Amino acid sequence: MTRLNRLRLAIAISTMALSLLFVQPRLAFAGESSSTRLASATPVIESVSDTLAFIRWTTQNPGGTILHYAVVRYGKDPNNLNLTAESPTRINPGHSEMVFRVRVANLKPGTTYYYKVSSEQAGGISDPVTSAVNQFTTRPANRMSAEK
Amino acid sequence: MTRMKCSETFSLLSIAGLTALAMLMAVPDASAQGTPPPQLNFLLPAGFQIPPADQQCILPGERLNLQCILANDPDVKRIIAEEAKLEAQALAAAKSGKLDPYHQVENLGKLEIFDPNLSVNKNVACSYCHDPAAGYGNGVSILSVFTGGSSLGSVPITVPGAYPNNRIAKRNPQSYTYASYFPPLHYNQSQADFYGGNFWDGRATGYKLQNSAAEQAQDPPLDPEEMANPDSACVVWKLSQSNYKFFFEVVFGVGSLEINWPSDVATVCSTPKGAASLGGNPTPVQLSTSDRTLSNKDFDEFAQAIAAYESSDSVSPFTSKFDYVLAGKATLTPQEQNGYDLFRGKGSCNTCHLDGRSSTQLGGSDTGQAASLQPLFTDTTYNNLGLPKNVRLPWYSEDTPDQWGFTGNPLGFGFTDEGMGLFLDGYYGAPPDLDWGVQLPQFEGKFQTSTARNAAMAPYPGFVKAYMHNGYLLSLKEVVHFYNTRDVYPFPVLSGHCPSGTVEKVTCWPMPEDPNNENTTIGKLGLTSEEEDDIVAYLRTLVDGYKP
Repeated sequence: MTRLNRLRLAIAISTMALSLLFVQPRLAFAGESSSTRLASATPVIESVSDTLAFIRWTTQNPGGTILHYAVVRYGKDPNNLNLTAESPTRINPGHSEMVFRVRVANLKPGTTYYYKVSSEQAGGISDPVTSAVNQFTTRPANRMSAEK
Repeated sequence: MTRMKCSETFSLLSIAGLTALAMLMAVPDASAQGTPPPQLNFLLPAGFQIPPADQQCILPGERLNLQCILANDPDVKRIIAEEAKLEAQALAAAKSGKLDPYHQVENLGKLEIFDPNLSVNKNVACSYCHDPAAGYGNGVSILSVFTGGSSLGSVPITVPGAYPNNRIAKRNPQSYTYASYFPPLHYNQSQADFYGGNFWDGRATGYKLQNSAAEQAQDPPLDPEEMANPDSACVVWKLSQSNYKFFFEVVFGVGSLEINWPSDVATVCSTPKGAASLGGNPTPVQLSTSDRTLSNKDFDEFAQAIAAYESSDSVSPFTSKFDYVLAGKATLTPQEQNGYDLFRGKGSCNTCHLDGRSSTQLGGSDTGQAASLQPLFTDTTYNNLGLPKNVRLPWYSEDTPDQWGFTGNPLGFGFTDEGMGLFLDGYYGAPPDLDWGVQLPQFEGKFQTSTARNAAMAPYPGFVKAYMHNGYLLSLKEVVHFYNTRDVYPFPVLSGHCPSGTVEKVTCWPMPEDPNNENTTIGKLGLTSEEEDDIVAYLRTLVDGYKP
């Protein structure tokens, strides 16, 4: 790379960085909290049995419709989350935070599943927060009780 | 062992102890009568004892001889006496000539609601399933325990050996306090959700009369499991034969009930809805077109008068302690206040049971003003709470024809109560808005959010009240504990089959009857047992009739 090209690259990177600085506040003004928009959900496995798991995460109150859907996309292959579990939940406009929980049923015992979480409004509009791909393993078969 | 588990264990021991005590006390009485009741395998609710008069009514398999209950149960006798008293009061008011038009309509509704003659066998009034002393819900304690609160309809079943031996509905009768404040059912496009309507499943939409409560009032008189009239004209004919006919015409016009009735009207109107002899004809009373039109108008007005009574100060007065708190004329005790803070905070109760106040999270302060001085404590939406199937419902045994050739529940135990899903799917006929059908997948399994007002109202201490559409929960403590721990103690079993080492409704919740669309706002709230009690204490402040 020539010195001129290095200079062009530096200018381009600087321009992009500056543009991000200016764009960021405008996104926040659009009615979304920038921290909400950028935050990544950190789901936890509330409980898991041989066939059933509850996954929970908390975000800032996303607003929008009162009825929301907590969504978990999951599968046995981390690169192919081909199954979906949705649970309806209702937001409380007076609460600053929102707890999402999903009941994932009909799992196979003793199996590792990979998943990521998201949420959406009742009309299907996605909320901004999603998670990275996480995993959990169901218990062996014939266990009646959910592990806490 | 956690603090909560200690408390639950204590509760369990208390329940077991009380049950054992109840059995010890009950058996000798029954033996003295020569009819020892069968051993019960399930725990009776704490504080509940089978009334001595009902001991002879307990059948093997933890079931009830419903005809025996009808003849002997003290709550049934109390309700019938109460009906007669209130009917007499209303009739005297009607005859006084002192009521203004506003109160005339309400009083007509009262006359109708407490009139058993409006049922096919002239034995069941609306109030039979909606006892004022029980917050206008089921007022027969033993039915709460054995039938999920479902009350006996007008028609006995006389087929030898039949169980149940009376037609009986599939659901716990919903309280109608404040029901007249629910708007007609509508699909809110921006919220993508149904609001309003009456009934657990919303099928009393209110679209025609623009009054959900009125359209609700038109259903039980024609429900084969309830008052079982074969034709709406039969209700009108009975009004025309009543001792308050004059008053109906005072309210709705002279000549309103002057209809040319056919000579066989008494015979037709004593034939229960669903009888094979009626051939499925929904209008077996033969009327001219003009008389049918007049009868239909009367039936609408009959229902509107009932709705007027339901919105009156007698039924929906906004006189709970909490109403006085909102008015600045009373204060909550520390326990009630803590319960209220949990109700709108950690418990998330006011997410659906709207309290009219600004909301705060636990630990926050209430800086907001009241959003409504008449909060309904429901948002009138629909949710699937994941309630287990109540295996005790006699409805599951109504799978063979009665002496009229009517079968209430051909599916027997295979019936799944899908709530609003049944309504949207055409179980009761096509819904009035055909576009609603596409919403079926999102609303299967959902039931209306009941008002929390008067949930704690009971006719006397020790009365067992059934909660939820199938009456599976038998106290407010159980209700709050279910919301709190549904997902902490989930087991893939039917009610009655919780694994050893667990206690159903304490450390075991059987699987949901319908797992579709199960709401996860609740399920693991993290409340301690003491906090559950605090919420119950707060709910008791929502009972009408408080004297500041």
